Amino acid sequence: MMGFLVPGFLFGLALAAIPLVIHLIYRRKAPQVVFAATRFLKVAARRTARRRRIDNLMLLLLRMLLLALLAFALAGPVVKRAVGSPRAGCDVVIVVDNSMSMSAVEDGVSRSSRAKQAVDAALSRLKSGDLAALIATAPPDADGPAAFTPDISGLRARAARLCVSNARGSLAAAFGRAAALFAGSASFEKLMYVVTDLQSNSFPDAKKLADETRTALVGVDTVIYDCGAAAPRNIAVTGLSVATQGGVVGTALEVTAAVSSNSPVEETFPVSLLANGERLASRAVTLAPGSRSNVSMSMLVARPGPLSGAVSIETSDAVAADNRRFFRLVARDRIRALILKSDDRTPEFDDDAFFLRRALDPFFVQGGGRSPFDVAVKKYGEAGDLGGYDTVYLVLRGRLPDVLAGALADYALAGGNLVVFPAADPSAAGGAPWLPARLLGVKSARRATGEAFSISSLDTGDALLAAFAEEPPAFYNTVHVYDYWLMDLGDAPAKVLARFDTLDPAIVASSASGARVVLFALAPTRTMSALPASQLFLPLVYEISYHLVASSGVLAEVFAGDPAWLAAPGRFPRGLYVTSPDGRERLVAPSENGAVRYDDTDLLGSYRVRSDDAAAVGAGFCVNADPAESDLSRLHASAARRRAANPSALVVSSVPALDEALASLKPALALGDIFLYAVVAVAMFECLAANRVSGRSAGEK
Amino acid sequence: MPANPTGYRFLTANAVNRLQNLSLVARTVVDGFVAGLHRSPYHGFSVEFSEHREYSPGDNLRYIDWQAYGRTDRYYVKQFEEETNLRCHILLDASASMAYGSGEVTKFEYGAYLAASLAYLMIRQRDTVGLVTFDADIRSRIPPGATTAHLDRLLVELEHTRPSFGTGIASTFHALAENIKKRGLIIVISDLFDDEREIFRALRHFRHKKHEVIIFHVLDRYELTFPFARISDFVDAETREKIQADPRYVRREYLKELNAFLDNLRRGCAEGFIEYVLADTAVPFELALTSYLDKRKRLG
Repeated sequence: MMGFLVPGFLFGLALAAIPLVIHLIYRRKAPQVVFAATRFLKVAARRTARRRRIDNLMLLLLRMLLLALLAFALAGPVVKRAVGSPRAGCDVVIVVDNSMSMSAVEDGVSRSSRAKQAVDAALSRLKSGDLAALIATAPPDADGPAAFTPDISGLRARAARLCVSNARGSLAAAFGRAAALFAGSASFEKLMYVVTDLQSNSFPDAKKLADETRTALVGVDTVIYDCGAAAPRNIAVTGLSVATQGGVVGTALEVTAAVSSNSPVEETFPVSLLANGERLASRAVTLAPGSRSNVSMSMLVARPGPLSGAVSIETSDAVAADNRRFFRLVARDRIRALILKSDDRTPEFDDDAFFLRRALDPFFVQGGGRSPFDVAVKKYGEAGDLGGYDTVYLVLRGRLPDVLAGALADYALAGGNLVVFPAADPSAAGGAPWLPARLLGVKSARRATGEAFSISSLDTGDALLAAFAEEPPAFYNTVHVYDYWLMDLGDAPAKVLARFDTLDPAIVASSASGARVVLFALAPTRTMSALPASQLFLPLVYEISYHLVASSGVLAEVFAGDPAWLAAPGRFPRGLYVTSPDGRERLVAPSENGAVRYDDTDLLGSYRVRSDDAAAVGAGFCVNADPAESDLSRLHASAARRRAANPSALVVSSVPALDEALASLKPALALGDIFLYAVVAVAMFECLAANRVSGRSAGEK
Repeated sequence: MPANPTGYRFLTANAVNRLQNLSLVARTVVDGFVAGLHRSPYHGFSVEFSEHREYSPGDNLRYIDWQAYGRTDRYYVKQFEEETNLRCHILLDASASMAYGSGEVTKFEYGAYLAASLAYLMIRQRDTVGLVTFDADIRSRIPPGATTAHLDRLLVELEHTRPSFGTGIASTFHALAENIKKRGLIIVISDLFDDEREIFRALRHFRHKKHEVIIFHVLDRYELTFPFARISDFVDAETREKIQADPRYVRREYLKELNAFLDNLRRGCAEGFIEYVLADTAVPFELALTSYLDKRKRLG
């Protein structure tokens, strides 16, 4: 029985009609030539009519045959041999889904154990002479070596050791690796097992597969082993946000968790807020079938130091890993702020520093209250060591000493928070060359639509405009509104607060360096900012200051399997020590470009980071499960075949069915090359025939 | 063809110049009534001695050869060949097939140039020349004359003739052969696209009437070489019949047929003592004409 690897090319058979159409068109459109000696022409035409008809017919048939054969060859004809004929020398790739969803337990049996049974069954059905390779979809096993090997027992042992990852698996990447293996395979028989739970989110759309992957998988027999059952009950914490007031001791911490349920019935379960191992709050949450909800809980920051927290659902469902989501921050007694002012002898009340100090610590004059900010005011020449300050406010007037500029850049790159009140618009030509955006070497910036960063709580953007809506329009000229963008810094992604109107970067938050800089460019034509011009602006400064400090204490979470960027290139040449939630500490050496990157993020929880002098670097980071893995909805078999770019893929869900599927596979004989040779042969005949006709003509001229 | 100073379309200054030193001398004896360059079968009293014959009463005594009388003692009268003028009839084919031309001139125009030049030549050497244009039938006939006014009449007639209708060479020639009483020179200018056997029969009719016949077989260069490349519908110039043919295939057979036709004509003409000249319209007619006349003069 003949089949085709790329049946779409069979439409090319229609092209075979082209020579016929051309022939008919030319025949119909023959030009008229008046001629006198037609009596000889008539005799000649009568005598040559038969030969001409034969030649033309032969040429026409050859050309039609040429196009038809080409279409056939491109369609990749394959002849399936009879069922049961001996298979030998088959190359087999077993793709095993080990993403988090495979940890789901159904009827007391986990999907991963079913997967291992399937792999074992597939391996035990290999025959002598067959080669096999095992590919896992999720880290860390996804990065393991994949090569065809005849060592079946070794593969069996590796499959037994295969762990379910907390990360999201990538079947697309696994298909790519399988395709690369098949592309290098000389075997005639190729078989791919895909052992998966058919989770919708993890099964890639065939259109998104690389072209070379699709091409290499054409003609590969595919058996999809479904390890899952109907979507089991699963409740998960799929998102977490922490709102702080700078993480200052004595202030409140509001934790909002997104909780979702795919249970077919209404579920009520307790949600708890945990901090440093203590349960601080608990709430009962009721979720309708298939719905999600935000749950907010508050806690008081009781003491300074690292705070490791989590929101946890206490229930037993299919997947346990996504029942808890972690956060981490460093609580501080007060926010240590430094205001750096120029050495100019200007009247105190004509200086931004004067108003800024009052904005941050309204009580310092009266001495009555206690502001969360511990504010120091220093001149440029007296700045000293900046390392001890949570935030540095730079009131930029006159020339900034080079030493101070370097110290500020180091401070920002080390994770310090720098708020600058520039004398001129920083985006203008000749702006301060030490600005972090330039230090980090911005290559390009792109809009991160929907990338909600915690800065949104700053009331910038539209909210800021709304705040100023009552003000006279002229005031807008002195206020720059900021918007968030993603910035490409080469290896490390960064988030940028950019001018809303010009998109010039103004605040930088890099996951590699932790640098955060805010530039307030107000009334650049004046000798001083418009800081005191509106009472609305002082709360904004206050908010931003809180945000900067708080966000430096809560690092954006890292999804399991994704790398965590710990330091910019050159910051920690000897690397950093990372302590994982299981208490293991390991030294992470800088990568080739000098940045420190931590890849082993499969374990969920809080990670501490320190430098080799035992100083903590930031607050560490948290690894949480990708919420997409919590969605256990599954594909139908037909959709899975479509997505696997193989409509004839066999989908089975048990070992006996696997045997039946294997028995139905028929070894294939690819005829594409034969057809290509035929195309070449016919093309040569066509050339000969065409030459014969035209040569006859040329010779007689 | 460019306008020429002679004032006639078909008589060019070039042709006139080239024909200055050439004369068409009839190879065979023709009837004539004006003394000229051509020998006449009618013995008269001219310069060139022909033969003696016995005196019979009534003969002019001035022609008695007294030397012969002294030798033989008998009266002999000297007879002289009379030089007479040539009566020439130019038969120009004006059928539709003659309207074909791949280059600057059609076959008819080429033939008309030939006819005009020959007529000029004849009249310059005081021969008489007439013109017959024909297609399927005789279209016009101008009897021979030798005056300049007659030449003018011939040239005007040539200019006013347009090729049309089919060809009926044989029937026309038979009719003409019966009509032209006195022996003379018949110059046929035609593409001869007719049945060869009938053509020969008609030409033999002229020969039977003791005429000398010269055929200028006018063919277009495309007819001689068939240089077409694309498959085309060839439309017959006379019948409008369409023949679709692929030149790549038919060229060889076409040329074979054409050459067989030409060979037949040449052979037939040679057998019938008919002068045959193949005139290719791609060759300037004055060149063709003068080279032919040169050759003829050399052969005597």
